[in-house]
Amino acid sequence: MSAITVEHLSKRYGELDALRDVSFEVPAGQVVALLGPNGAGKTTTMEILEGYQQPSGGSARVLGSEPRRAGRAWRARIGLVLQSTSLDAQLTVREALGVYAGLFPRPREVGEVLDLTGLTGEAGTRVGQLSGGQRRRVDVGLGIIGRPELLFLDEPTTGLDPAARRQAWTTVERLTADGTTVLLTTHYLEEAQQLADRVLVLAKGRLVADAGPDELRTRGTLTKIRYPLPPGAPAAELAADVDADHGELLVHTTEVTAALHALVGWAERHRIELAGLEVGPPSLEDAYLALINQLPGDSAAQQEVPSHA
Amino acid sequence: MPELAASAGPGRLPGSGPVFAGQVRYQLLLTMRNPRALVAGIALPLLLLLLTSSQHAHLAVSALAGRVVLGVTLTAYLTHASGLVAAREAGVLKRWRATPLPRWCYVAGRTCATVLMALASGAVTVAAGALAYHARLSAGAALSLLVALTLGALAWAGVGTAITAVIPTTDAAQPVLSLSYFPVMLLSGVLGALSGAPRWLSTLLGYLPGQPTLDAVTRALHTTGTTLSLPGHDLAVLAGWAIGALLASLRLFQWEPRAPR
Repeated sequence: MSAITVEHLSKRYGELDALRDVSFEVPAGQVVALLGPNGAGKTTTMEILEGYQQPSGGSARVLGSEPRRAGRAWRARIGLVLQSTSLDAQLTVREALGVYAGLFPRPREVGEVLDLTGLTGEAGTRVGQLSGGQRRRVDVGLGIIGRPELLFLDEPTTGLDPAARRQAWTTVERLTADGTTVLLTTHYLEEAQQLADRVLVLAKGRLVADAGPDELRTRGTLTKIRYPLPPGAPAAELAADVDADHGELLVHTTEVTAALHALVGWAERHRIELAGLEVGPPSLEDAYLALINQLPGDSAAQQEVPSHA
Repeated sequence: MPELAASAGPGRLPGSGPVFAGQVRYQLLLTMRNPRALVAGIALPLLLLLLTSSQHAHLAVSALAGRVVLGVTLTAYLTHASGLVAAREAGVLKRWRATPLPRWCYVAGRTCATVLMALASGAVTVAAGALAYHARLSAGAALSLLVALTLGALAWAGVGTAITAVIPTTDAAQPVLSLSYFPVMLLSGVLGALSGAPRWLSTLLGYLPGQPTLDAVTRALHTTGTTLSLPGHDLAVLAGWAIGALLASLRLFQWEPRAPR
């Protein structure tokens, strides 16, 4: 069954085409990551699916309804975490969750949500006194309190420290184990790799890729060879492939045997052990950047993926 | 691929009554924890009352009415409207819009909480005035005051809701609200009657919500019996503002921040 069906969706803001002929489906129970550079159309897509915006053309159906015209019963079946936090600072975490819980037919227990979001210790704290990361977790809590069938997560872990981000991933994984469908946007490719069953890549308003994370990684014919150079290693012969900033050799190649042969020869000549050598398909981030960079225009210049998220 | 049926979500939505009551509770909690609301609604009128009592042995009813109306309208207009703009800019309204909460329920719940806070403000000021000057409030005065303050607060909260449509940001809220509030209230005589106002101005003020609120409260405080005593014209003007503001809000109210977030 399909939770989201998007057909030939377009959106214009004056002269700007924010979305052009975008079509995809999200089956129920799947986690789909919507990726793309800034201005690619991710938030526009999310806002159309959430019912905030009217498309200029095409159609979008979410849980069987047109979002802009859907009523209360439909809104009780979705949950959303907006890109920016949107909370009343004067309420405690427990109060905020309790107020929202009262709107839904079969909400989660407040205690369960506190546990899922790791906020049990902050239940009695006013939202205004929480750190940015904790507020983000309250946002996530409000998104899931109604036990949604479909959850929209718009950059849910932006601003979280690595430990909190991993906890957020665990929360999403527990939700999806219950069959919740999730559509998320993120700038963290590691997050998409960890959570998503499928990745949609938008660039300049067009859908340029729709594949599983592993399929996207291995779709190209390139293989990645990475070797962290030991201090003082004579890297002059490898200069073209050395990433000076990170002190490592980094090669993306289709001629794996020849590249490895050259590397092993270099190591033998200088009596260097190739400790830490990695050979494999490119990461999702590599595949994503390659995809964006090969598009015409200046998409690559706009991309904003943390290189070591 | 088949789509999930629209009726797949089990369970019945909570009824409007409990949801509305929940909203009023939630909005009251927010207002009571808002220091600005407490200063404007309670502390400022009491301070002005204290200053007056230090200068005069007897408090004129019109002076007490002015302090009461000041607290009530500051709460119902300035605090209410600036709170709405802040909530809209912070994305709070946008989030509410995505929930099963009926839209009318949010605005009505917030307005109801504002009116209750305004009534509390009025009650505290009247009680302080009565205590300071050993005055007694008749049953008729209390009832008349309740009606006048409720209608006055409703009109001002309605106008406050409607005017948020023309306020783009929280930065713009204070000047717009102050400029639309203080001239009206000062000219209406909330801090003392103006003498020598031209006739056209007096007529105009009679149709704005400040003067009718003050007149209705003043007359209510003068009531000595057990029956209601209220000026019909002033109540009609206030009801007109409340209804007009409601209609304007239905058409113009903005749920999303003006600037992209």
